[in-house]
Formats: sequence, structure tokens, C-alpha cells
Amino acid sequence: MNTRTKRILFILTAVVVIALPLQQLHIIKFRSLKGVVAEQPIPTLTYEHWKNQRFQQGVERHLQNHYGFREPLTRLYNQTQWDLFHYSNLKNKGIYISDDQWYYEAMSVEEYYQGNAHRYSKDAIDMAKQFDTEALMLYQIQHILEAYGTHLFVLLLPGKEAIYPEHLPENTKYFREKEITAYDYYGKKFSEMGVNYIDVGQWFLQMKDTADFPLFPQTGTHWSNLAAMYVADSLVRYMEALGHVNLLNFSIGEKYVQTVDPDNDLEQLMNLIRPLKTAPNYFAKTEVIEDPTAKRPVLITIGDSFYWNILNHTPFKEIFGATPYWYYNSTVYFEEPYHNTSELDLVKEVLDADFVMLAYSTTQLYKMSNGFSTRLLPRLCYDDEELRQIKTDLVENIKQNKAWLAALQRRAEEYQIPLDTTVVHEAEYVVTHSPHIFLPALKDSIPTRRSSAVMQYLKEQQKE
Amino acid sequence: MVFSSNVFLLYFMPGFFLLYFLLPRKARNYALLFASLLFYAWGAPDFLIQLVVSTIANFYLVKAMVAAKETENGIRKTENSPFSKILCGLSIAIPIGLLVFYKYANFFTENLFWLLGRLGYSQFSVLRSPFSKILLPIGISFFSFQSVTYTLDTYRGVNQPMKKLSDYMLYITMFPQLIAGPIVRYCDVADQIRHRESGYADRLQGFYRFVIGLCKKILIADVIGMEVDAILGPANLSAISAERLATLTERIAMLDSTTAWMVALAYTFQIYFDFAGYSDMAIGLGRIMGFKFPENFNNPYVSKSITEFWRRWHITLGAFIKNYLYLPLGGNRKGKARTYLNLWICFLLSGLWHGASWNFVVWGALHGLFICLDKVFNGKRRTENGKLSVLRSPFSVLLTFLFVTVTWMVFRIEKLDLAWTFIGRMFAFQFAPLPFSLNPRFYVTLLLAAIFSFITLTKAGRKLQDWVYNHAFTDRQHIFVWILSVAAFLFCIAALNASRFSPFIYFRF
Repeated sequence: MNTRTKRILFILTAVVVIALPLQQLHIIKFRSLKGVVAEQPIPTLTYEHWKNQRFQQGVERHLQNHYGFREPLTRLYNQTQWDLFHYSNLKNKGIYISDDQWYYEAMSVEEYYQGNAHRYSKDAIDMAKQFDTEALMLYQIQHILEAYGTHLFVLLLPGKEAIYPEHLPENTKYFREKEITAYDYYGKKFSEMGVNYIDVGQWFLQMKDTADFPLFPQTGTHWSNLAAMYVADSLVRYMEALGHVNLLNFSIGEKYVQTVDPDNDLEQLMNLIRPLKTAPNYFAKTEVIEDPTAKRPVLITIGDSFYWNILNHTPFKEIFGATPYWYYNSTVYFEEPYHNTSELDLVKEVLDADFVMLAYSTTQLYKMSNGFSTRLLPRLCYDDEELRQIKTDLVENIKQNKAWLAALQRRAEEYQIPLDTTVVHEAEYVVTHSPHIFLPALKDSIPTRRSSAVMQYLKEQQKE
Repeated sequence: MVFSSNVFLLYFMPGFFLLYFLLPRKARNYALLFASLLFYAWGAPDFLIQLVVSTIANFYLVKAMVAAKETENGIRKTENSPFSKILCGLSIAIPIGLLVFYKYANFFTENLFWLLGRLGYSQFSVLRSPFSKILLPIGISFFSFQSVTYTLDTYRGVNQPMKKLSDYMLYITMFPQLIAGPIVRYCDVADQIRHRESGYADRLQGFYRFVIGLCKKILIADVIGMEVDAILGPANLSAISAERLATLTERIAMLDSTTAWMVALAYTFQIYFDFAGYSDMAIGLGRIMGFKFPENFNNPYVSKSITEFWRRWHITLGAFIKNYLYLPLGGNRKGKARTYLNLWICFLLSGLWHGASWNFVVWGALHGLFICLDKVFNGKRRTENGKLSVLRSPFSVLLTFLFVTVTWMVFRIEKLDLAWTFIGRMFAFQFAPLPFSLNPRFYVTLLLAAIFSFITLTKAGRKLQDWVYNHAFTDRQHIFVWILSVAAFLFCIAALNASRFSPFIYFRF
């Protein structure tokens, strides 16, 4: 036998195994994988971290997302699993894939069929109470702001399963015991109370059979870009009517098959080598219709990821003077560097805007507004100092209430937090979640009390 | 650190072998020892010092034991002196004592205090608390036994003791077999530690063997194991089918017989491919360095009897128990009844060695019982006919496999009552259609596992196995097998990580 061949093979083996860690330096560039993984930094190498395995586990986790040739190897593995077994990791990660290759997000399906929003509350009654409070606050904010020329409205966005339930796979039958969903509940409540809202779900169901494009892509979870365009077009008209203002309109051109940045977000997460053979995704060019008389108002949007399709694929940025997007009422996507909503002068920002839109889809409705209303409403009616005093008084009340204090004592011990801190947290929570009990001015149907921040803003406006 | 981890595959293994082969021969054992201690310290830093100290103590105890056997003028006695016997006992007591303490203290005290509680002495239960906090150091079951073989092989004069402490420490801590075997007897490896050769053919064959093991573990055992865990593991809230949200008791109670059998079969293949895969990797790593570790598995599921199964399953444990427990107990030299008792004791202890829990004891006891029955009935037939008839062979294989499959469920399900319920579901004969469409990957992998497990029942299968494991490849064959091995190696790394790759949906933003 020729030792030379074996020597060469041995050296090549060494090259292969050493190339893997070396490629961590990205010597060769590959098409990056789609999706975001929660990066966790490797804990510092200390004796304690070594002893309790945190360091070792951190290194293993880090390597999992950073090993050499990860991109091509992951795609190769995923493609093999898909071709051989029709197997995808997505199936184990909260995604339903039907036999006819329609993809659904499990969380959304469960919410649609079972009204799972109540799992975030104590029970269905508690959920309804929270939703009622939220709806009432939005109603009150809407009316307060209207007096100052800011129009608030809600955009209720359906999940894919609500529009295309016919493709849902068999194993979702466990969830088909319909209860009231957050979507239906809010729709009904807003209608009763007179909160401005648009039910996109109803509109989509009417459109579904006549539209010559999918409202939701076959292998995506968000609405299609084209559907978002049509909704955006209607939104402009809705805002024109709501604000009695003439806005720029836009036209939607001929649809064409979308090859760049398609809608199939779930399919992209599968990270395959070849795209799946599914129904095409469509796109269309939009064009703003010139109108010198049109105004370009400010639109603040608070919402979830569905809104990106409007912001990125429609001419909203041209139609409006400014379109700050308060993503989950947290990061403000407008001008870089992006900052957090907590850094904003909330009252001023809202009063400066002409329209405030809350755009929420099925899965996120359980936390509608993400605390926007609980933060804004008290500040429209009370000064910060007054709010602090109310909380301080409540802290004292809790300390006087033996049963309440005992309960907090147990909680403090359980979570190993000092009792004083627990009491302050409790006071803040209670005031935030039950503002109508602790802030008397909010008991009016439409509160008349105004904070000095509002009054100051109005004064400045008058001066200008 | 385990072989099927990124740290091992991407850093430890390449780094170690690069260093090992670049160093001069004399320094290689030191490099291996250092790497082995690092390997252990990575997974069990708390126990490293105890491992090192107990190993050093044992080395000097054995040295003193051998010295006690010497006469004043330096001529070795044929009989061991009482002092050397004491030292031998002490040398065995250290590793076995540590094993008993770390592995069984909690189990024994739990049962003791349970018994005391039943007898009305529940006030003593407060004393149990410190024992319940004892953590089991990884690999202790394996390196304790290796330490025992060193003492006894030296005591019996089978081998000379190691001259260098570092060589002895290397024997005990060598990373390829440190945490999951094979249990390498001192007499099998003593000479190789002092001197060994590894040509390019060995290194390549070692790599191929390592990759075979990696494939067994990652592509078969882990894939099948996912479905086993879905039924027998903790409640999986993210899983799709609603049954998986139930507790283990509820899940087992609602199983139909088809699913119960599928789970049992899946676990049967999972445990084999998992353990045999690890052994293959250990043997392969050893071979790259020139070590010839003993085989640990030899197609156990083609066995025609339980006796044969134990000759093919975890061979090195079987050899250890035979040489260091069964034979010292008297083996088969003290009459039939005593032989059966010895066998049963061995299997009972073998069961307990696998884990400190009653299900392992029962599992060992069942195997011990059936091995005795096998001796009683099949032994007679073999004596009469010389060997089992051709017609009876497939039936014997099936029967043995069924017994092994059923008893694996006692091994897998820790709570005995649940294990019996599970077995009850298997034999409830309430069959339902296979939910094939739910997971074809599982069924295909299960089928492949079955084919690989039984392939040596055919002549072609035996030839293929012989070709893969024992054939001296030509250059062309080496090139072919090398390409396959490298592809499989990379694919395994992809599988290891891709199966855990869990990106969020809202990636666009």
C-alpha cells in the first residue's frame, strides 16, 4: 500500500478539522442565514463561572451560532432534511405546516381558535377586565386628543388563520374550540364605545375570493406586501375623513412576481438552499399622486411587526411629514440613532402629531398599546409630581394594610427582593393597571382635568 | 465535555491532535495526560482534585503493595503477604468507596429514611438533607472500575505496576474512555501506554471509526431520542400535539399499544446507537493515537439468548464483572445453585451500577433471572443438540429482542409503577394506525437503525461489517471512505447545530 496516499489523506483530514475553527474568522464569505438568534455573550472566565458551568455552557452556545462554515452547512442539512423527510425545525418551533404547504404561526392559530389571550391573565374574567380598561383608556385618550387636533384610531389586523383557515393542518383540530378572542372582544368593545377603529379582518374576508393576489403569502406569517399596500391606500382615505384633511394619495401599479425581499418570512427561516415551489409572491410599484393642496401631517404609529410592510413598501414616508414608528411602544424607529419611548416627552410628542395609530395583529392584542395608554392618560390629566404623591400615599396605605403587607412579605421572600422595594413595585403596578380607581379625574367619561404639561403645551402653541 | 459537542469537535479535538502529532514521541503521553485532565475539568471541575488525589494515592498504595510482596533479598514471593492484602484492599476501597459515596449515598439514605419513616421514626429524616445534595461526578463508574483492574491485575501478578505516576494517571484519566468507557482493563493497555505505534493507516481508520460513532449518535440516536423524549420526557410546551402537554403519568396512561411499542422500539435503538456510538468514537480516538481499545458492542440485538446478549452488549463491563466479581464469587465451580445465585448477584449489581434507583435494580434482577432461566433451559438443549437449530434461530433472536426491548422500558422509566403501566400499555393490544405523516424522519431513521442492528444476521451484512471495521483498505478504497467520512463528519456538525438553531420569526426587523 502506498503510504503517500494515506499521508496526504491524513494531512487533508487535519486541514478539514482545523479549517472549521479557522473559518470562524469569516475567511470565506457565505450567504448569511435568515433569522435572528438571541445572542448571549460568553460569561467571563472566572473560577465561579467555571465551577457552575456557566462559562462552558456559554462557549457551547456561542459556538452553536458561530462555528466555521455554519451558513452552508446549515443550509445543506436543512435542505437534506426537507428533501428526504419533509422535515423542518420550524415544525418544532411553533409553526404549523399543512400537507399542501401552507405555513402558520401556532401562537396566532391558538389565539384565533381558543382565545389564548387569557393565558396571560389570571382567567378569562381578568382578561376581559384588562381589555375593558384598555378600551376605556383609549376612548378617553381619543377624546382628549381630539380637542387638540390629534386623531387616535386603532387598526385591528387579522392573523393568517382567520383569512385562510381552510389550509390549516389536521393537528390544529385540538384548538378548534372557539372562545371569544381578543380580536373579536376589542372589535365589539370599540364599536360599543365609539373608539375609532378599522377591522381589517372583515375587509380581508370580503376581498379574499375576489383579490387576484394572496392576502397572506403561502409560506409567510405576515400579510403580503400587496395586501399591505391596499390597506395603506384605504388608511389614507380613512385619515382624510377622520381628520377632515386633504392628504396625498397614491396609485398601485400592475402587480408582478416579487423575487427580491419576498413575503415568505417563515420559508426564509427554514434556510434552505433552493426556494420552495409555492404560490408566487406579488409586488407592485406605487406612485404618489401630485397634489399641491395636500397636507403632510405627522403620523405616530404604535404597533407590532405587521406595520413594517406599510412603512417599508408604501409611500407613507412621502405622504406624511413624519412617520415615527414606536415599535411595541419601545424603540422609536424614525431618525437614527433610534431611541426608546421612555426618553420622549410623551405629552408633547402626541400633541405634536396629527394622527396616532395603534396597529396590532391577533397575537399581540393581549398587550394592546404596550403600555402607551397607561403612561399617556395619567400624564394628560395629572402632573408628574401629583402622580408621585398618589403612589407615595398608596405605599403608605399598603403598609397600613396588614393582609396586603403580609402578602407582599411572602412575595418579597419568594423573589428575594427587599420588602420596601416590593411595596413600591406593588403601588406602581396597581396605579398603572387600575388608574380609574386611584386617579379620580379619570372616573369621568371624558376627563376634564388637564396636567400642567398639556396647559404649557397649549400656551406655547398659542404663542406660536 | 462530551464528544458530540462543539467545544470538543471544533476546538479540543483539532487542537489536541495538532499538538500531539507535532510533539516528539516522548512528550506525547504528557500532552495526552494534560488534555485528559482539561477534558475532565471542563465537565466536572469540582471533582478534578479528588480524581487526581485519589489516583495518586492509589498509585502509591499499589506500589507499596507490590513492595510488600518482595522478600528482603528482592525475590518475589509467590504468596501475597497479609500486609500486601491490606494494601490491596485499601487500594480497592478508595475508588469503590468514592463510587459508593457519590453514586449511592443518596439512594441508600433515601430508602433508609423512608423505611425509618414507615417504622415511625420520621424525625430522623432531617439527617437526609446533606446526602440529597451530593452530585454524581461524571465518569466515576468507569474510572473507578479501571482503578480496580489496575490493583487486582497487579496484585495477581498479571502485569507489573506502572513505574511512572504520569503513566498511571494517564491510564485512569485518558480522555477517550474517561467518562463512558470502554472499561479498559489494565492488562489490555499497560504495554500500549509505555509504547505504541500509529501509522497513517491507523490514524485514518481511527478517524473513520470516530465518524461512524458520531453518525450513530447524532444522526440516529438523537433523532430517535427526540420522539422518545416527546412521550417519556418532561412536558414539552412548545410541541405541537396537545397530548404532549400532559404529565408523564397521563401521557403513558393514554398511550395506545402501537405508540407504546414504537416508543419502546425507539428507545431500544436509541440506547444502543447512543452508547455504541460513544464507544466507537472512543475506540477511534484511541486508534488515532495508536491505542487498541477493546470492543464494547458486537451487534447485541442479533443475540439468540440473553446469555449471548450479554456477550455482545457492553462487553467490557461484562468482562469486568466476570473477572472481578463472578469468578471471585466462585463462578460455576460451586454447583448449579450457587452458579445461578452468583449470576443473579452479578446482574443485580450490574443493574445498580447503571444507576442508583430501584428501576435499575429491577432491570438487573430481571436480566439476572432470565440469564439463569436461559442457562437452565437453553443450556440443556445446547448440550443435547450441540447448537441451536437453524429453524429456531430467528425465533430465538426475536424472543431475545422482545425481552430486551420490554426490559429497556424499566431501565428508561425511573418510576417503577409508571414503567409497569407502560409495559401494560404495550400488551393491552389496543392498536391504532401509525401516525406516519406526522414524522417520516423518525420512522425512516428507526427503520435504518433496525437495518443496521440486524444486518449481520445475513452473510452479506457480516461481510459489509467486516469490510467497514476490519478491512485493510487499498488506496482507492481509502480515498472513497475518506470522502464519505469527511462528508459525514461535516454533516454531523451541521446536524448538531442546525437541530438547535432556533431563529426568531421577526427576523426582517
